[in-house]
Order: sequence, then structure tokens, then C-alpha cells
Amino acid sequence: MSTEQAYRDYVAGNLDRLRRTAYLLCGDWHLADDLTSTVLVKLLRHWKRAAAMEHRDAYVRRMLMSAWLDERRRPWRRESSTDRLPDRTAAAADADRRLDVLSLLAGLPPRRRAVLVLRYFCDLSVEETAQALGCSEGTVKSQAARALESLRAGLEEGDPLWI
Amino acid sequence: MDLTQAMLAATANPPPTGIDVDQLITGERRRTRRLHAVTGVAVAAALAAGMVALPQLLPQKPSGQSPGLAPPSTATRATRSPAACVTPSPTVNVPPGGKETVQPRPVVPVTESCGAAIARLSDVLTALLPGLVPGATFTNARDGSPLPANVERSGPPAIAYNAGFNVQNGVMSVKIEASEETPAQYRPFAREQCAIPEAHCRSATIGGAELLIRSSTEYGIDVWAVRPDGVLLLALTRSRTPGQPTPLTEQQLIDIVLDPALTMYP
Repeated sequence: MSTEQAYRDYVAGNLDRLRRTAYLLCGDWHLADDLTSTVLVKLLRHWKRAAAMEHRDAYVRRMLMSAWLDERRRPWRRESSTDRLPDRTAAAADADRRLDVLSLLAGLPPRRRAVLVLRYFCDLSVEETAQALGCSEGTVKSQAARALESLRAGLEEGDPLWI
Repeated sequence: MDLTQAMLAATANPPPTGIDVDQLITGERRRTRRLHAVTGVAVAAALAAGMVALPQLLPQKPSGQSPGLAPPSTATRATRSPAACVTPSPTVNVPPGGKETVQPRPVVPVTESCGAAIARLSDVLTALLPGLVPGATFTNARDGSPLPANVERSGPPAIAYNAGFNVQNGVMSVKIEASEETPAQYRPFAREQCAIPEAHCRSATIGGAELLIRSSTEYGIDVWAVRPDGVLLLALTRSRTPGQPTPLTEQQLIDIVLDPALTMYP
């Protein structure tokens, strides 16, 4: 199998997952596509090295996290998050739930959001999450706890999203 | 519904992606090609700039030497030859008309390499000078080091070498050049120079060489010689104190310019 074909196969098998992860991080499908494209271009540049890796998915996830955090650091992205969450309707429709979880995630700082996405969406362990974010396991635990605490603050007990 | 299910539900219906892998690969190939092209052009430009700038920068190097350096040995002289041999550009500025290219046209073509000429002339001067003025101590004028003589490439546009020395209470220097005139062609100029009453000069023909000798108690002695072998020599001496005798006599300078070993054509 040629190098290019191997790259194409890898992208075909992982593009959807990458896009979804990026979407949960940023909350916008266009920006999610931009982040995914950035990661895929970087992956292509380093494909020879990446192809030989045992944990290639972890490498790609880490690139995605870096791309996301870099994006957040750009001057035009510096938004101040507020403690006021958007108004929510009491209806429990799927669309509302989707908006709810995205709104709740949007209210979190980027690193805490990344911790939740990696832990609960990518189903990574604390150790794997720490590796993906380049921080210690203790930091992952504390960030996750604070992130969940922030989410709970925006929910009522008994809410479908109550964790 | 827990958080995991909520996240899965939130991403359940993604819009069609705008990511085209073929486009990504093509774009990356194009970027790589451009990067290689730009790098190649930059390297070529840097090399070209270096080749242009190097001859202009290197001749400044010897002047940066601090005085009081240890006397150069023969080996040191050999290693220094390439720096002393940097040929100055034959292009000279002629204000205000911009640049004019002047090519040296010696009567007899010079075939000896610069490095060999410097080493040979250094040996000749090192042997000649102490014998010419017994008891005198010659040191190189540039850095005060003792003999052997430091000979350097001179010009442009002529192909020439020179060496300067401190001696006793004054200085002297010798310039050896591939002449662009024969003695016969030089003679009218020498006569004309000495036609001026206050010029303190005389011309002479010795052994086929045409000499122009200018001397004054105020500034010292210059002896020019255009020899039949195609060499133009200038030997001059100055006293550090105006009015005092120069360290070399007129006859000693004449002996220097007529020494057959001081030639461009060994």
C-alpha cells in the first residue's frame, strides 16, 4: 500500500470522529471543519513518522487539542465567558438537549471543555486524557471535577443531564 | 441521559463535510513545491550575494589586526597568503560619472600566482634589507612585527605588491608592480616631472631602466624605476622628524629598485 493510500484510508476511517470531537470542542461545524483540516494537513506533513506510531489516534487527538487551544489563543477569539447561561426551555426535545449540552460546554474554559470531551465523548482514561492535553493526571481530575461542577450549576436536580 | 449520551446526541446529525482529502493533498504538494522553489532561490541569492560581497569584505581583514601580535613564522605567512592575495575589484569609482571598468594591461603578462609571488617577494626583501642597511632593525609597518617581511597584494587596477617597514627613525616602503609602460614610454613623463624647478627631482637611465628620483629634506626620498624586464618599482623613505636625515639614502633606494630579484617575473 502506498503512503498516500494509507493516509487516505486513515482519514476515511477517522474523519467523522475527528469532526465530531472538534465540534464538541468549538460548538460550530464550520470551525470544526477548519480544525479538522488543520490537523489533517499536519498529519499529512508528518505521515511517515505518524504511520509508524503505535498510538496514532492518540497522536492525532493531541494535534486536535493543540489546534483547538491554539485557535482559542488567537486575538480575535479572546472572548470573555460569562456566568450567565442562555435561557433554556423546559421542553425535553432532542434538539433542545443538543443545544443544552453545547451551551453548557460553551460556558466552560477551553481546557475544561477539552477534558470533558476527551473523558466522556472519546472515552479516554485519566491517563490518556493527560497525555492528550500534555498535563498531569491530577490536573485532569481537578479540571474534570470543576467542569462537572460548573455544568451542575447550570442544571436543576433531576434534569436529564444531571450527572 | 448522561453526559456521554448527550454529547453523542449533539453530534448525531453532522452536516456534510467540506473537507476534501484530494484537495488537502494537492494543496500540500503545491506548498512543498513552493517551499523548495523559494528555498532554492534564497540559497542561490545568498550565494550570489556572498560571492559579490566577499572580495570587498576580505581586504579589510588585515587592517583589523591588532598591533603587537606575535611575529609571524614562515608557516604563518603561508597561511596568511590567501587573505593577502584577495584581488581587489578592477572596477574603480570615477565620480561623478558612475563606474568605469579598468583592466590592467601589463607590458609583460604576469603568470605567477599571488600566493607564490607574496612568499617569494617576502623572502627576497627579508634577505635584502638587513644587508642593505647594516645594523638597522626593520619591522613591519602594519603590525610592528619583526622580519620576515609582510608583503600584500596591492592595486587596483594594476597587478602589484607592496611592503612597508619601520626602520630606525623613519619608515620605508617598496612597491613592485607589473608595468604598463616600457622605459622608453616612461622617459618623457620622468623628464617632464623634473622640468618643474621646485620639484627636487632628477631622472636617470641606469642599465636600461628609467629612474625618477625625487628627494627633499622636508618629505624624504622617492625612487621610481621602470625596468626593461617589465617591472615598475617604487622605493621610498621618510624621516619621522621633518628635517632629519631619512633612514635610507638615495643610493640605497636605487640599489633596491634595481635589484633583479625584486621582479614580477622570476
